[in-house]
Amino acid sequence: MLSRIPESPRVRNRLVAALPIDEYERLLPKFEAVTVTTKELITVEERPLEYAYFPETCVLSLLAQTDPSTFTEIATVGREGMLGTPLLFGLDTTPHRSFGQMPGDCLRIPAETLRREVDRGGPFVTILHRYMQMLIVQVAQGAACNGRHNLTQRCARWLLMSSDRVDGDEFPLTQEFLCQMLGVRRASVSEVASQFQNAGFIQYARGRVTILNRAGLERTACECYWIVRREYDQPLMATAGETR
Amino acid sequence: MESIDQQQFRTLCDQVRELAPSILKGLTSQSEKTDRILWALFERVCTHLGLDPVEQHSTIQGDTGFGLLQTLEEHMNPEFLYSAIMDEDLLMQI
Repeated sequence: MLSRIPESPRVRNRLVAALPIDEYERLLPKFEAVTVTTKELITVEERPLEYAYFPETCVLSLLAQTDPSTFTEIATVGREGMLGTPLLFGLDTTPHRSFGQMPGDCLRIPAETLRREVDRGGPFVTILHRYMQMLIVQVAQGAACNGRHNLTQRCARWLLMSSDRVDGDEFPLTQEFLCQMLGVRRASVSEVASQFQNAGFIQYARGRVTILNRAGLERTACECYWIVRREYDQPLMATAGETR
Repeated sequence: MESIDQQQFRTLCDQVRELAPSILKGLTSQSEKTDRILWALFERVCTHLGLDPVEQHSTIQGDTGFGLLQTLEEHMNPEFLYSAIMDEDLLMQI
């Protein structure tokens, strides 16, 4: 559903909110506000990218195809980031699929408009390049983590990352989705979820996770959570924006 | 408790896909299209299970997509990977 951009002084997407005020005012009219629903396909492998998406309250999931009918998550994108990074490098397709993981609001900018901004340069592009580094760290750390750490550690990391992106301790999560995110069988996910419930770390009922003991999950998660978290906690620009 | 298996779910996805042109008539945004398609599928899944879709949706907090996924998780037997079927047979086609 399309609507006008909210007239609040600042949007919630961190990349847009970090812009210096003059750039913020110049660029904001180029965005449109949309809602994203659960399972909505945002980008499809090898289809042209029509927009770049900047989540406000929704969470998007970026997936890699590992066999003809299996996709595994390679990155989660919330209000700290954007989807459509190939556009920054003059590409208009991606081998990856993305969809709405948690419903909510999103800003999007037409691909052609973003390309022009990339050609123009300036603070927006600096911020997007900085985000690219954050995304690379997330994807790389996730790959290393999947190869080296056990499911309990990885599941704790994923729950913490999701909680960070929704700014809350409760969020929807189906078991199949978690399987897809972690690349494991349903039985394995059920076992870890039971462990966490028995330890009092989470409550899981009818597809909704509530984090009851964040410190417990943090102790259980591997160092990968903190490495990615520290990267995302870095300022996007040295001098501008984020405190506006 | 009534259940749904992989073949039954695939059949319901096929039914919705065939009706997609009329279900989506007049809609332009991808979000609305996805929501409308998933609701059509959710209605059929609930009917198959003997559930009232409106009542079922109200008991599961969240949007239509989440309501559908959670209903499948609670009623599928034997378990199957519903996302692969739904994504490839239905959502990729709209």
